[in-house]
Amino acid sequence: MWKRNLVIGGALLHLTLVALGAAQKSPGFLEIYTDLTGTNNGFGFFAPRVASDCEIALLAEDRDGTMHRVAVPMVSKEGRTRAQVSIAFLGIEDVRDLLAASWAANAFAQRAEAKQVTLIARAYELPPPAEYAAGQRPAWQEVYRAVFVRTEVRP
Amino acid sequence: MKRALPLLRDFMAPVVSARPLALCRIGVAAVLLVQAWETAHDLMRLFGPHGIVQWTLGNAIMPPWRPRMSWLVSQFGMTPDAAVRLTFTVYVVALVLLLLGWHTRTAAAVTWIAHLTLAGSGELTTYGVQVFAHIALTYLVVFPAGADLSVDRSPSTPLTSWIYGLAMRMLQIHLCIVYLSSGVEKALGRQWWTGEAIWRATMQPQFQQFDLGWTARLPWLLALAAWGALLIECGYAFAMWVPRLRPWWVAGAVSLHAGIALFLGLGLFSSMMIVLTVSAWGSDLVTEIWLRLSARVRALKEAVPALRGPLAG
Repeated sequence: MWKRNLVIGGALLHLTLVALGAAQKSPGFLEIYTDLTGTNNGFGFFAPRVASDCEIALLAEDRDGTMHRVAVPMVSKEGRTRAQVSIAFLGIEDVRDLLAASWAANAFAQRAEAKQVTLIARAYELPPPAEYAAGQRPAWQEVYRAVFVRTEVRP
Repeated sequence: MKRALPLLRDFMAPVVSARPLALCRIGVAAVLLVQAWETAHDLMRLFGPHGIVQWTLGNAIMPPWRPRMSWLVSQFGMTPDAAVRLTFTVYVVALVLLLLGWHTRTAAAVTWIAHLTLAGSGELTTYGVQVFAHIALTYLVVFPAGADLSVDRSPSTPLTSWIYGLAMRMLQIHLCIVYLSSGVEKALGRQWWTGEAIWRATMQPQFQQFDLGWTARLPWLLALAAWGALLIECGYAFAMWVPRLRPWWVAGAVSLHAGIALFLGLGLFSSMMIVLTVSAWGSDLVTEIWLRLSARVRALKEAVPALRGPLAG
């Protein structure tokens, strides 16, 4: 019976961590456990508000000055969903520049002739239902722009 | 205290059948296999060293203890592409074994590590499916998920045990926390009371499946849909413990996720949530439907020769 009690005690501790994680109050000293077991997760999907959609455009400029639009390269629906998750992270300042650089590097890999890649992020400004019903329509608003230049690495 | 402990023990670890845990294992593995099938088309773009989230960025933001594919490169001298393909192949094979329930615990552990490795290397591209897969796989590693509906099952495997009951109780309480916190966080936002949240979710280009612009003229419909979501999510943690309300709330949660799949296109996420809710709370219902269907099929099989006889004659 003691074994069963011990296991139940462990289960209750685990569930306490789940509740703390949901409240974004995971104890720091158990960080490894909570991260590896997924007990540090918050569950605020679409909460407290639904954020604006975001899209990116990747414009590559070749050495001869011609401009090309580089496509977001996903084939599957799941791939596109996950790419969209990454694009949404451009709204977070801490990772924005690094993530933009990562997308630009991907664009450089797709277009070997490019000397420069410009990433433009736009947010979808959707009017509230009443304004939409009155005739106002959604619009894309530029929220971020970054230019990345290819540097030649000398051997 | 002396009375409370046995009560707590009986509540947390009731002696139940292994079937619900087996259903959870099969459902989670099936959803993740479908996801893997989709992901395979974009493998290097999602997980490769020069994918949309490059390894250097992923490694920089990931906690240092998380397994990652760059370890395979540095420890075993593999090429990055080979590390991605090997990890993904191991993940898929382990998922198939988990689905079949063959060496179930080892398969669950390998799936868990491979999932964590892929999720880590695809950091900043993970969403709800990965979050709940991680949670479910952790339970499948710890608990004996191969005790029923599996290749592992043998005559000596106990049909009922308190450990199966504990597994399901943990999953049930975990889901209650998930839905309650999700519901409360939504309820804190004005958009969920006016219905604008539903409007914004269904009209965003990334989620939009149908043109629902006409709902702008029906704000009461948007509000009703939002209140329905709030009711299901906030009420989940309470109604599921009331036997008379449980079937209604299981149906409500399934409908909510079916709606998310249909109107927002998040089919894999919705499937994962439906699997978890149905296996945690609705396995009796599933068993009953299965038994009724089997009885119908048996009756039909018996009826067919009876029908054929007079026709042939």
